[in-house]
Amino acid sequence: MRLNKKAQEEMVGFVLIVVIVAIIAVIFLGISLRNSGGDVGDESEKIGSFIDVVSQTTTKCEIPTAHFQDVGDLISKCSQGKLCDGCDGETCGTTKSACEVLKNTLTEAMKSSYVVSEGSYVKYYNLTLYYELDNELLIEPIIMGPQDNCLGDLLFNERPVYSGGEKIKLSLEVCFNN
Amino acid sequence: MSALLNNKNGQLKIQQMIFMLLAVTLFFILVGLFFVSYKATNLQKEVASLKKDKADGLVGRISGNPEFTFEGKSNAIDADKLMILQTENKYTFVENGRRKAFWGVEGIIVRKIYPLGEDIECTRDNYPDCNLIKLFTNENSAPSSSFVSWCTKKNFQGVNYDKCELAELMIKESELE
Repeated sequence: MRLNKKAQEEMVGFVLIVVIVAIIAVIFLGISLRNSGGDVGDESEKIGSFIDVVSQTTTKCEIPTAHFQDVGDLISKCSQGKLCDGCDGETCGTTKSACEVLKNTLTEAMKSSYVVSEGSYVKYYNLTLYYELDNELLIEPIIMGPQDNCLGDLLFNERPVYSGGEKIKLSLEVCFNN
Repeated sequence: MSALLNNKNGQLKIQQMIFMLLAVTLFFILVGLFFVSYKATNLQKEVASLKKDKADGLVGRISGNPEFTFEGKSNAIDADKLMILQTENKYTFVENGRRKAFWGVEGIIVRKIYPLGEDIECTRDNYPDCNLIKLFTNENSAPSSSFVSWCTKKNFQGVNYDKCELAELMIKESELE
């Protein structure tokens, strides 16, 4: 009977030690996870500010003539199916729609901002413009690089653009190599 | 005889307790050492990360500064204002007998990245047909950067408009206040 009680006491002691160690391990894990989370948020903010800057970039599209549209305005004009009256001082003709100029501007802006090549810091990016209501795409997504598994940091942000009561979202996803 | 046995039993228990206490203390010391070594290896990384955060915050503050901003737009830099500041060749000033750096930076570089073109440094002679403005520095790049709009006032067929292009603002932090 006495031996049994002693064994029970030893077991309680052992369990107590295991519990203390587990608590310490959880605290340690929590601290390290909190520290590693900071960089992701910061970079996402950078992508957010990049979208803001791209939105206020002046395009070649004139609606009406001599009134150059910025990307934010052009998104709205594209959703309304408008055509450019002129392109950087030249007549556009019927072939240059607001959507065409928008796509060209965004493609070129992305190419010069995030370089994707073998061994580059950026593995791939995906820029999409879609209606928030039904997720319908406004223009073809602008994608560069192979969109398979992102082993580095996959960062994302989006900003809304309003066009005649409709909400269009400009979203950007970038995969950075470590 | 039974008293002797009890005494021996007690000694054994004390020994057992000492061993247990030693083992637990040793275990916690090992855990502590592991934690300290982990923290120490991360310390340098954290210092670099904190410095980077501080510099990134400074880049954001600079682009929102009245001396740089374009008509109150967020993340938009007025290139004309930068060209005026370019005449300042010193980035420090003296206040209350102490040397201080303008905006806490040693150098500011703004490079147009879209539309893409060859690097042409802006001077009074070639402005606005250029794409690189350097303030208080001769270097071509700096460690902390952020995307900004490079904005100027333009006139086309008698109509004034704001022309904003995609640019990168880079700064080198000053060690001075």
